[in-house]
Amino acid sequence: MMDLYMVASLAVIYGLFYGFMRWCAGVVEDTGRDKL
Amino acid sequence: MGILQIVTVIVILILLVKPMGTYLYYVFSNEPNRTDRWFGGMEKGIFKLIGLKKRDGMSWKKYALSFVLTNIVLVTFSYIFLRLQRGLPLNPNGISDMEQTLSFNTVISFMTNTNLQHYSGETGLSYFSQMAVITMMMFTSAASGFSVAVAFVRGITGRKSVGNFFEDFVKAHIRVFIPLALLVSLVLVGLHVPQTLKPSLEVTTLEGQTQQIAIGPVASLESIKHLGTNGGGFFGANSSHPFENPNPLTNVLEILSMWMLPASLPYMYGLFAKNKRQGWVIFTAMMTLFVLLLSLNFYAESKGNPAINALGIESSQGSMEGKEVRFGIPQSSLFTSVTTAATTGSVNNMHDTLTPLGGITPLALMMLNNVFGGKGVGLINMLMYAILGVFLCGLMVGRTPEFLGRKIEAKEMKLIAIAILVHPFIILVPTAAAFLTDLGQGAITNTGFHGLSQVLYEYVSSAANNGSGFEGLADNTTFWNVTTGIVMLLGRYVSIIAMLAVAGSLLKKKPVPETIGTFRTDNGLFTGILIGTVVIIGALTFLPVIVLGPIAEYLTLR
Repeated sequence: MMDLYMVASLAVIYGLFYGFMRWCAGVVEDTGRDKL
Repeated sequence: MGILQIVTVIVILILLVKPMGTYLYYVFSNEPNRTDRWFGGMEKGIFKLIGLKKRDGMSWKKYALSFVLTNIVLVTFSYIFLRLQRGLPLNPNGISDMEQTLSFNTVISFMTNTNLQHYSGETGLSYFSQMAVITMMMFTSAASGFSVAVAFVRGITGRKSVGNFFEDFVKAHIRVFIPLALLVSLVLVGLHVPQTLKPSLEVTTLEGQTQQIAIGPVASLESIKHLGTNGGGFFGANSSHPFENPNPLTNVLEILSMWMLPASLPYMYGLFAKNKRQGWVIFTAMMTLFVLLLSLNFYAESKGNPAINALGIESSQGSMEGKEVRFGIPQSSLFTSVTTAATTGSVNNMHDTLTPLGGITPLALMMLNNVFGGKGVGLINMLMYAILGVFLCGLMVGRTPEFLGRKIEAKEMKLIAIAILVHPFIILVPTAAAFLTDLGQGAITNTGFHGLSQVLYEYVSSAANNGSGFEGLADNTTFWNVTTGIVMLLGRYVSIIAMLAVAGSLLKKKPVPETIGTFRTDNGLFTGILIGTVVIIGALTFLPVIVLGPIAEYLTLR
């Protein structure tokens, strides 16, 4: 059972990094203009 | 004489910077060069094997994703190997499977190039695990970090793209780490470091008792342990063990092994920027901060422990508690400073027994995390501070800041701010949490201010992906395995992803022509600004906790 928790924790954390990467991509693509 | 030993090693290092930096430039510039004759054939075979015939440049997102996914695959296999090591081959000593939370901590530790060890290698790992997990990850994590640093440099120096992760990853192995590791391993074997697959030796002592002496493939692990700024030792005692580091000559070799590549990267960056002075500015800033902190450690350790001195005990050799007589103060002090500056984490003396002021040096070097740094991350962090320095100067004079001919705007600063803030956040918050919980407090073996330093050191070492331990902390528990594991992951990936995004952002911008009003970043003034920026940010962030730990301890000992 503990194995499952550890693997799930790793999966969640790496998933968060993917989310962070997408957020960074949003920052880079942001042109700085006001959004309508 | 002690200072002479230190100066000699620093001079050798400086002499190595130019040839090694030039070599690294040729390896990663992807332009045809002489090294293709030696390694080109082997690389082509590997590229063919992995289906990488066309090695087009990637976007920063694809590069970051390739980096993270490669790491995930390696983490998965390594976790399985550690959990099943008892039944796997090359286990002559019958080592049991590693416990779940310890396996979690260990795979993260080695994949993030931290090498924090909550286990003792000689009793916790089979030979198969030592080679297929630990040594393998020492190569791959170092090559990953190196690749990311090169990608970042390509981005900010305006190359066509940040490059191809898999090409960089293979090249870092084939042209840098494997040949150097082979060379250093052979020299270490020549200097009496063991390299064997035979089981532990059983000997009869003078008293007639039976004693087990652990041996194994030590030299091969030792070489990449330092070249890849990894730090995880074959033995629990790490580089203070006589089989890992038998004499002063191996000590100097290990110091240079872990220092040479990080110190050469700024020169490589100068070549990429087509302005070597840019590289020397970064190198000078790093070396200045390093010498200042090394001096503090050497002075404090040479003066000895004030409490012991007060008892009237002869202290002309300095504070030798926890140090090896064969290395003495200078070689211990230099090793401590280099291993924490280069974020290696191997130790040839016990950092827990450093004098309070001497203990500030490893803490501060890991807190700054940009004085040489390991596997390329130090260079990335120092360049991040350089961009911040340019931005602050731009604010002061009311000009749009530029770095290497590209305008620095709000979006780059937003990403840099996150990368700078995440480091203290993942150190100070878990440190406070550890003191608030019984699970955290239960591991502290030293009451008072030194106990605070123990906990602080554990998280600083994890966040900086250093891996050295203050030791004295009973850290092989679920609480410490899980919390330090998470801190290591955050310390590694958040700043790397954010800085790759900065590189991608700068790469898209049109270069701005240099004018008389351009703020120069390749002169002495900027070196001073860069050092000032690092010191001010570092001091503002970490000075309060340093005062509560080592400085308070020092004041109580006086």
